[in-house]
Amino acid sequence: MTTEQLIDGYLTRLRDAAAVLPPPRRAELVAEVAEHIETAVEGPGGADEIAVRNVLGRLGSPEEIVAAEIEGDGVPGGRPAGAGGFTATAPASPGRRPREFRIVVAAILLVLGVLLVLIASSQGPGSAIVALSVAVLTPYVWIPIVVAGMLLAVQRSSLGRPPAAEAPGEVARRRRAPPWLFGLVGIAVLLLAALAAEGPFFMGMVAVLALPLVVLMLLIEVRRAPRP
Amino acid sequence: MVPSAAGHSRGNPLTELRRGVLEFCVLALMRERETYAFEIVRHLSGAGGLVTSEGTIYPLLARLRRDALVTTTWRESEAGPPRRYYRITAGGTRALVAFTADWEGFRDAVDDILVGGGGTK
Repeated sequence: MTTEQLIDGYLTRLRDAAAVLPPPRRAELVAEVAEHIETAVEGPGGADEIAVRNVLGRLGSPEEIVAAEIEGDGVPGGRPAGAGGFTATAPASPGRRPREFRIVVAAILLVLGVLLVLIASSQGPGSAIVALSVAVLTPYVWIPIVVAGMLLAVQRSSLGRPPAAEAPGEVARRRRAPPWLFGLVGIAVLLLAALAAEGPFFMGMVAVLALPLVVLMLLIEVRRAPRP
Repeated sequence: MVPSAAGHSRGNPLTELRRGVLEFCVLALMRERETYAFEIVRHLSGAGGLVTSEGTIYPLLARLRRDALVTTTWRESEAGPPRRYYRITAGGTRALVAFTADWEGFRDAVDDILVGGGGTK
């Protein structure tokens, strides 16, 4: 068996075992382990079969790695509290509550988006006052929510993607860019909302534009928070 | 006190101890400077076998990221693909400081009883 076959076999087992994980994390985990193997094999000892077997042996079985992933994904107390009561002092995972909060925000946004579309499509040209109030008032309510929700979602994001070739400074700027971008999107939608005050047609457009935005938000949330 | 028979039936107690302290050891390793996963693994494996299955460090790091105890930055490496560098956050530092205090108390209490004969404090 060649060293490539050994490594491929291991990664395939890992990919299979990790099928229970949310797809983005699964891909990330496999990439992390693949890179680990690559780095370890490059090191002293070379890439003969024994060296590769040794590297894979030290990693532990793919099933073991996935088990650690699932276990760590649970409530902090989900880890065996066995030896040492000090495990109880593990930080009460500050990331947990905001994530649930973001799901709630996303759900509210989705409902609002659907409502907007429904209202927009049911408005006849006659009910100008209702149309105007919906068009002008509602966006002012939900746009801040959209922006706030997106800021929250991005702020705590740790799903950084490896940039192809960027200086450290650029990387830092890139990671800060999204909230800024979302802010721009918010302003753009706000401008459209002002246009919407002109009539039901524009308002319908705003609603149609808002819905994908909201769905996108929800998708981000679902990706970030794979567990129900 | 847990009867020794029950202790054995739960497997190696060191495994459980390791599991409890590992995340704080990882946090401590990035306290002074940024580091990357492979370096962390090498450090922990070298230090008296704190990690037995090196691959399980990646789930642990992912959890630390989710819990915002660490932040990461992708950086170019001299050779090979960009690396993800880990840095401890303010929240991570607080957790580490709290655990360090707890650990000292815990260690002393255990030492007192195991080594010092116990009974007197």
